[in-house]
Amino acid sequence: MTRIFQVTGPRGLDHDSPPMRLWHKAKQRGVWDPRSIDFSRDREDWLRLSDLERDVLLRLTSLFAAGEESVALDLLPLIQTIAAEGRLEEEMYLAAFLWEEAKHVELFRRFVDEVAEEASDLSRYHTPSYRRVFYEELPTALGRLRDDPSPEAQAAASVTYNMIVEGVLAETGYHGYHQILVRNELMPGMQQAVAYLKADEARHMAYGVFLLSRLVAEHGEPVWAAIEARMGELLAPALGVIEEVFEAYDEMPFGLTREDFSGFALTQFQRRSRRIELARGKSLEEIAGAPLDDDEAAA
Amino acid sequence: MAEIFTDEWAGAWCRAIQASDAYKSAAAGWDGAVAVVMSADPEYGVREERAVFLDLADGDCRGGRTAGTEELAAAVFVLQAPPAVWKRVLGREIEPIWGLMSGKIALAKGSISKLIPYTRAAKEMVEQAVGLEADFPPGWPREDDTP
Repeated sequence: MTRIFQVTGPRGLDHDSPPMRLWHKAKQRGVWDPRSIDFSRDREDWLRLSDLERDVLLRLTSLFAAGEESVALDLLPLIQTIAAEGRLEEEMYLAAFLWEEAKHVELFRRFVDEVAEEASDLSRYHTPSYRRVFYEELPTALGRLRDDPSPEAQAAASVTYNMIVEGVLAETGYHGYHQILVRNELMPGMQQAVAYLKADEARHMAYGVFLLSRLVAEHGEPVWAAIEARMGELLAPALGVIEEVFEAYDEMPFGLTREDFSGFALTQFQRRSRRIELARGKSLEEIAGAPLDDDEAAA
Repeated sequence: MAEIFTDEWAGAWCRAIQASDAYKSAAAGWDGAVAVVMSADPEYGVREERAVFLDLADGDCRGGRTAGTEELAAAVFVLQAPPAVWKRVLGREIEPIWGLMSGKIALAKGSISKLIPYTRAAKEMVEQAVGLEADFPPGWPREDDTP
């Protein structure tokens, strides 16, 4: 097969396409270094916390850290699928996407090593719903793409990765975590890091919504049915992850409530679901030319 | 066979919930009546809004009936959707939790954060309605002519 290079041909690169817009943002705003975060005050704050407060923060850190490792490990089959379809702009953005996930892994391990100074196995915090989502559903849905790169399989993978793991869990978790730190004037280094994480995740979500919208516009109802089915399968265990955090404690410190997580999760989820559903009956040109959404604006 | 969202159907739904071990275990600790509302849509043969009330407490259903103003006020959660959505829920085409989270089923009263601990109970509750043999309003679209 003769290879035809896009970048030396008349088409060049579509800088106005959603993935290229995200790529340009990632180059400017995604370049923070986990090693440059100053954790010195964070360590002092950590030592002043009660055992219960430390346990809650260590639990959340454990969920975030393993979650980031999981998404870093599991993204490659999607990148390979997109690359095999010759979608250069999307692959370029996904390279930044994976790089950012790797930095998130580094950040949380640094927190464990230098702030919590914790050497034990934190997987003790991984509850049944968490294990189902991160140990089973995510690797299975992404791994399936190696043998089945169909649009329906891509949609199921993206729902699992972007809408559930990143949208319902990571983004919501970071929102709640950031609120704890700001509200209690704790750990300024982690506050800064979580602000970076949130901006990175907003770009990831914008890509996920674009990808699902493109798949719906291009392949129609079978893809939308796959999206609905996957949402139906995973929303209960995803919400179970949040619930199991609260079930683990008789009393939550930091004034942390379920509302800190669930209200935000619901608003974000509904907005994105509607945007994807609106892609039914739209053309690819309309999807590519869609104005900035809230995620892209926040990125 | 009872027609959906009628007094008789609500009673049958409640009895099915009472008989469900899966619901019992999932709903332990749940304390709060639920009203389920189907808005009017003449295209589905539903000329006026219909609502049913389930008096749920700690894994049991203590009664099911149509819901008036009093029941809607007493319900801790009110779930509302048009017939097109309930048709898809009862046909197992959409999971109730996806319906709620996506806004297809509106949580007209109550907080999603209070529902989250009971997502499995909500699923089992709807599952019992799905399993009922039921009649549909005259004009309710068949499978092959859903608008």
